[in-house]
Amino acid sequence: MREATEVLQSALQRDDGGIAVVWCPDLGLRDWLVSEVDSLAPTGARPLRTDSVAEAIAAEDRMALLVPIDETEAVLDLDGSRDKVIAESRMRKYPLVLFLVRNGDGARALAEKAPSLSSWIGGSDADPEDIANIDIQAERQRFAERTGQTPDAWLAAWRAGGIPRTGDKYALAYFAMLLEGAERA
Amino acid sequence: MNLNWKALAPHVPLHPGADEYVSRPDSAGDEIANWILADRWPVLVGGPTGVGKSTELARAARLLQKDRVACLVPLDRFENMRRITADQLLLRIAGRVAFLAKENFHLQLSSELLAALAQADVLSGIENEVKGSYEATPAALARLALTEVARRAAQGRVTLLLDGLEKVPQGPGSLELFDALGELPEEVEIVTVVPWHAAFGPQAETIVRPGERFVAVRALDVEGEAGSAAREFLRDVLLQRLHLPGEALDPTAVIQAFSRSLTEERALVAARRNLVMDAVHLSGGLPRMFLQLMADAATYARLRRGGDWPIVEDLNDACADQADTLRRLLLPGDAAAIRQAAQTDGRELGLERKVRLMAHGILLERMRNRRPELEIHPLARAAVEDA
Repeated sequence: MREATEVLQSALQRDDGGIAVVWCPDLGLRDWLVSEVDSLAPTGARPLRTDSVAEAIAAEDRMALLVPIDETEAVLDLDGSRDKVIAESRMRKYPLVLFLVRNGDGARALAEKAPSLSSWIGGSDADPEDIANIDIQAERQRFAERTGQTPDAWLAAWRAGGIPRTGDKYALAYFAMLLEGAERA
Repeated sequence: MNLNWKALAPHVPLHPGADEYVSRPDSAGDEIANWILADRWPVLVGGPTGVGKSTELARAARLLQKDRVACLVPLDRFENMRRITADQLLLRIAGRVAFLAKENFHLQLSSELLAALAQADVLSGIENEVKGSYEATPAALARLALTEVARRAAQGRVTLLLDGLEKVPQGPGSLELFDALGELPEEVEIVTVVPWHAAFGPQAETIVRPGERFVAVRALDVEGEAGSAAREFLRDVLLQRLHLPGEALDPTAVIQAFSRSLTEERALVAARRNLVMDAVHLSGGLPRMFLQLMADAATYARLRRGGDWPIVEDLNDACADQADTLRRLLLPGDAAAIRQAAQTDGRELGLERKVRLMAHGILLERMRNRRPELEIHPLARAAVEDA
């Protein structure tokens, strides 16, 4: 059984210096997911948020968070420039993370015109919210087993500042929010 | 023993002469080299993403090195292939040939040529003082570089292996690029990957002309008795990249155990072997996907247990991730069309859809009784059936 945070971490960690995609349910959650990925960045990655493919590729020694204005252009340019990511240095350590909106123009461009890019990201394009929607009750139970609290109780403590702001706790907070939102729906 | 699973690096093609290279069944690299050595060129190369085209080009370059100045030109590492112009193509070729001639073949090139290439900003990597000056058009510069290298090299001939041109969008621009190759000296032997529509579509004759040889790099057939060599190949790719000995997945090779009984140790090795074979089958014979599955599963193992080797649950989840990727690539109408095209030669499938699905590797071309037959990728089957 996949957990949303594990899927996200796996996508970010599998290929050193590769490309990962994070699928966002909507633009509102995109910003949250960007900050989530930012918080998961390893020490020294110095995440760089940019809307430019060229700038993201040029950021060799940083973890680039590519949040495009025009998803189609970004996907096609990244498809055409894919191997530039490994061109200059095989020492690139951090992934280039592309944020796309689920069912948006970027998804269509990937399917229609970007086979090279889609091949690279195979298995590394995470949709954490979709994963979390698989079995909410089971996930809530697993969350409780893991933390000793329900997602709602854990989040209350998080929001009150009672839980330290560390990378793993940010990930847990995101997961808890997905479970909390789903229950209300 | 700590294994470096990051070394699988599914996204990084091997370079010519890489130690990690494993010779594959019906090697395209060997076929390419044989055509060139038989003076039969140009050679065009096509196949789905992740099938190993770049690695096989590197293999061909290595095989040719004794007899040719074999220059692998990974265009996509320097240019955005969506926007590359004919002039940029020619300049990149010129720059790469000069670079390899100096670095790999230790040839002394004229300072004027180097100056002109440096002026065109295509000579990165050569850190020497460039003296003199010379100006020329991109086509002339490419001809000059190729002619001078061929003259100075003991091999006397240059083979260009062009990678990345499959990413060029269909349209007049792609034809201009292939026409630009006609500006190169006639004696230069050309091997090039061709765009998806040329590799998989009936319009291939616009690029594949009479007399040219087409080498199809297909997904490996890993099923049944006939797939035995392919299965061993993929297993060996994994072992090679992990720097493990050949018997690492052979339970009968275990003759002593330290932290557990001999029986338990053998059972453990057998379980690992079975897991790797599962990944082989589920990859559909696409080497990159096989490496991605194993790398993904290993990442889950590390995240969950700090473990070295993945277990079945890790591989299952890696497969679920890959299946999600393939499912997202399906567009409206694809599932029904795929179901109809499966186990046929695909002639009834619309051209645009066929090219797209084959490039993605969702539909794999198999040879059955010497005839092509389309097969649905194992990890795409569920998505196709559910849709």
